[in-house]
Amino acid sequence: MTAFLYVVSGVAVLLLILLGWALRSPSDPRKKSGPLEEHRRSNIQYFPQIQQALAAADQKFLLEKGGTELARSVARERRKVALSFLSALDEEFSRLLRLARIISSLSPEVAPIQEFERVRLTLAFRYRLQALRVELALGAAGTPQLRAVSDIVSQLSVRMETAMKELGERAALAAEMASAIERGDLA
Amino acid sequence: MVAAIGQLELYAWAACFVLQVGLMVLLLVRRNHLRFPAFACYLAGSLVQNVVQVVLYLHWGFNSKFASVGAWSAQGVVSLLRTLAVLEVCYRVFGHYRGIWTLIWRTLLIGVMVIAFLAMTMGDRNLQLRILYADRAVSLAVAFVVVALLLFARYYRVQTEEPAQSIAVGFFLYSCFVVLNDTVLERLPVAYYTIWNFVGTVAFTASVLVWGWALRHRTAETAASPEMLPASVYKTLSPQVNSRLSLLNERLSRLSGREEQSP
Repeated sequence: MTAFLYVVSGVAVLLLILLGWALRSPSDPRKKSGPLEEHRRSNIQYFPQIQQALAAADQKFLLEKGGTELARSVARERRKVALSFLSALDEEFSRLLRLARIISSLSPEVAPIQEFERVRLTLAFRYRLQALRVELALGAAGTPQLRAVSDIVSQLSVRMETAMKELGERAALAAEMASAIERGDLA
Repeated sequence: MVAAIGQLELYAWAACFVLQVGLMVLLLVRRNHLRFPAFACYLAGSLVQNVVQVVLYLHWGFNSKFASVGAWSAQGVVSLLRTLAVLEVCYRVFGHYRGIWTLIWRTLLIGVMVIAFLAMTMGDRNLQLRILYADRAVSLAVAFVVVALLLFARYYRVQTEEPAQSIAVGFFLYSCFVVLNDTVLERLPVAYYTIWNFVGTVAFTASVLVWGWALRHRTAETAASPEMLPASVYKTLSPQVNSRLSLLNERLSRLSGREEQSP
């Protein structure tokens, strides 16, 4: 008899939590991934260095020549670098997503399927990236995994850049308007 | 005990009525009724409801079926006005953004229909409680709409300016409370009936105070509508972003050993 009451109370609490989360002041996205109109070089360019840092041969060499302590210390530092690299990829991705969301808000028509699909994909991406971070922190992920992630982000960046170039003035206008919205010039 | 609650309820009702009158005056003096006409109608409706209920119960008594039907009918009208006021807040926030507004109102409509259906059908089959279910359904739908509105605003980074945000929060708090209050009453009709009305009045008073605080100043002029982009920009860029994201997720799934079917 009281089960329904618990369900209703649970729903009310859930709604309250969601409300609290929605009312939190959003962090400035420009702090995380920079202004949209800024054309920065992709983080993918650093992949060879990351790859080198995680190479098994390097680890083996250090272990033989420098001892266990040195090898562990270097491995720890290199994992930190690799994690920073993942964060940089995350930022790059966030920047593209931000652009897409602002374009949606400034478009006279949007496709619901694409909008919901983007939400789903973003949630999945965030979850998987976190999982990969954990794997890396625990030493389970290696160079092939990192290469795969960076390849995909690289493709995304290239395709978006191409699309922006193809669109020319329109794309520039979109980026400018998006930045103006974020600065509070329009909204 | 019952007599004490009855006395307390009367004081609470009187305090709430005075605060509502004060809020109405504030709304008119600050000329905010021009910016939020549906909210002003809701508030006026609520005041009229109070008067109607007093007249009904004083004239016909608390045990009269006519008085009960009349009071619940007035509640139905006020609930409808509340829904319109919430929709007005939604439009105030997203009205300038044509594309996402269309998406949002359709999503909200589907959500509200599902919630209203569930709230009406879950629970006892007692026909006498149907009106209580309807009240709960409307309240749950309003609470859902407010949360969805603020989540959409956060997602699309649309600013929810005051007093629209506080009006929405006031509606949420009251609606959420009505849902819980009605559910407890449904489960414990005899024990809870004496305090149900009192608790509801206190919750509504809290919302009136939130609205009063939000509407203490005259609302600033609405910002100019942002200039829309050509439709072709969205049509070109959006599918490309999604296909890349889809590919990324597919690859990430492979990395973590969880294959995902791409749409």
